[in-house]
Amino acid sequence: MKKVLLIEDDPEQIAIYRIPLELAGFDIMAESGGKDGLARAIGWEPDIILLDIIMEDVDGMAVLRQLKSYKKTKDIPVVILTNVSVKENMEQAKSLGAAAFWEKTRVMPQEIVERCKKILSIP
Amino acid sequence: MADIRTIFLGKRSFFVLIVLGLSVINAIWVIPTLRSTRVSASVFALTIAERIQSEINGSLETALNETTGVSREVVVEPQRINTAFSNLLLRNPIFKSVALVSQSGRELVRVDSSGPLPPEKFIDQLRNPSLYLALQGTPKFGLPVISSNGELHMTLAVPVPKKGEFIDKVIIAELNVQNLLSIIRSPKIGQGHVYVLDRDGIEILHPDITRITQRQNFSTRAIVKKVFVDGAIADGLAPDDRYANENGEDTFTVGMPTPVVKWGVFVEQPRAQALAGERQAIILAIITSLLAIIIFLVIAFSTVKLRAMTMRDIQQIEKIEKLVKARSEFLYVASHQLRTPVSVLTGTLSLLQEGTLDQLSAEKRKSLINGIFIKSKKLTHIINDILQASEMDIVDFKLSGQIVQPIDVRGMIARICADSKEEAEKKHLLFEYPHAASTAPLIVLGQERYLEQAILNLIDNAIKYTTRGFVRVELAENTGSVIIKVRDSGIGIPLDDQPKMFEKFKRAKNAENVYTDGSGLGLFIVKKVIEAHPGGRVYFESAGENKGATFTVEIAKSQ
Repeated sequence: MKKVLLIEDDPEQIAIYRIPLELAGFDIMAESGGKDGLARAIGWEPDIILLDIIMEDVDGMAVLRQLKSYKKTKDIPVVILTNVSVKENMEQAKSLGAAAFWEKTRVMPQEIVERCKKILSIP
Repeated sequence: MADIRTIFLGKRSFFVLIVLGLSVINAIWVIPTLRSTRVSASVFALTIAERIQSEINGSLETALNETTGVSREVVVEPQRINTAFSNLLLRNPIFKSVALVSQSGRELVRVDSSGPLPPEKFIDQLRNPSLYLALQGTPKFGLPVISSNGELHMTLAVPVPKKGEFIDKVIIAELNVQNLLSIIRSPKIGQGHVYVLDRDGIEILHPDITRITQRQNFSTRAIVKKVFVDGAIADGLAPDDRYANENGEDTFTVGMPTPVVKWGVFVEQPRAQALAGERQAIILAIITSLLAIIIFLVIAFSTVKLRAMTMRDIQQIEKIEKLVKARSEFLYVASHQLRTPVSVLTGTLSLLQEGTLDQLSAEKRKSLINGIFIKSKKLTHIINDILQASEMDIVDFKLSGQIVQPIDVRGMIARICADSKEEAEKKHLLFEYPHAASTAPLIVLGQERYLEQAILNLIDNAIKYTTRGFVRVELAENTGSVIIKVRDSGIGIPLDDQPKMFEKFKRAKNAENVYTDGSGLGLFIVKKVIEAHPGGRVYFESAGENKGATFTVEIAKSQ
């Protein structure tokens, strides 16, 4: 069972992503802050991380930078999942090594499942 | 000083006009002047060439057409040719006499100004090179001769065009040299003059009559070769076109062949004289171009550097920068604040559409539907904030007479506090409103709907940005005003952020961390609303981050 870590501070958003991922057979954990998310990533070693940018404690970009600097997490594909699709963010995410940059209003929850499968090479 | 710069820069379009003007001067006057020296000589050459062409060749051509009709075949009908030649002499005083001569040198028809003459045999003319050359197909001038009445004449032998290549007839015309000279002397070209060479480079016409009889050969001159080989204007600018005239002066010569017959018409001037205008034009062109470039650079740099120097400009730039920043802040806020609820709405609906929702327990379904509800409310709230802020921003928000009404502030605040107390207690905050017991009305003039929203915004903020401790609402009055204070023990406002707290989309750095969904419009709306009320003002005090904050609203009491 592949493990998905969702780092997202909005409970309603967590709910709409968690449900289809669970139904698709993923083991999913959600953390509502950057610090908790980072700790969870290191301890749990997920197969893929979906990361929000604007969060109450630590900015998603900072979390991404940290994830890419730890030996245990640096090879985990990190997908930025955000509503702030400004060019600077996309470029920054790319330069920091994000696997993808998905805009929440454009990528529906079910599509997120498909895309995660693709990144993880699940048929 | 600033004013001078402002004027200078304010008249930027004036300087642009100067640059344009200089360019126009260059284009209309200087550059043509540059060309005109060469062109004027060329034009003289061209004019003379055309006059010779039309007056001599054209006349002969006309006469010949009259002789031959359309057939181009000279059928010797003496009467008809006589008439044509007589017409030619009548039309053109350059011609002294015209004769049609056979290849054996025998005159077939001969006419002079007095009319047809008995033809003569030109035995000697067989040895006349002009006749001989004309029979080869080349028009040729003969040597000038002095006629019986003392006039200087020159013969011109012109081949009669005929079908096929064989030429068996030639027109031999006697030309009045004085009249020819009047053609080449007509243009005034300073110290220069016009001369004509035949296609062998032999000088056949020169203003100086003695030169005509000398028949000098200029065929070796580069410019002469160019004229006859290229058949076009040679402008005399090439180094090999320079040679000394009889006065030993360096010359400037323009050459031009006449059409068809190809005599060369040359205009010769002392070089210094001919190119003096050109040199001036070049200097002028350089000066005007440099001036244009300098002014252009001044304008270009003034937009970058000098513009920033005037106070008015600084203010303008700051204003624009603020607008741009506000716009990008708005986009940032909008993309987060508006899209977050939208993404939940569309996401949940897509799950519903795909049937995913059907696979869930009733409890999970309910929680998702609840999520839609929460986000819809949030979206509505944000949209309302944005619309209201925009409205207040566009119109200078003022409460007009009609909608101003007496408001009992005490009653209004009691209502708000009753609701807010609940919210605060959910967060385990101590909510205090010490004046709840008092019911004596406290009246101000204004719009209840707006005022209530403003006060509610302040109390909401206090609850939102306080994680532990208290929120306290105080109501007081002095002689002229009602004073409402909202105190909290919350996250405070960092000193750096304090000056911009009432601006649109401006949020304190620490506020972002506590409550991400804020639109950054609440305090902007509060300020607009309060200041629209009579005697209204709003301000806050905070000792800094985590030191709490107190917002104070003052509104004039209704008398």
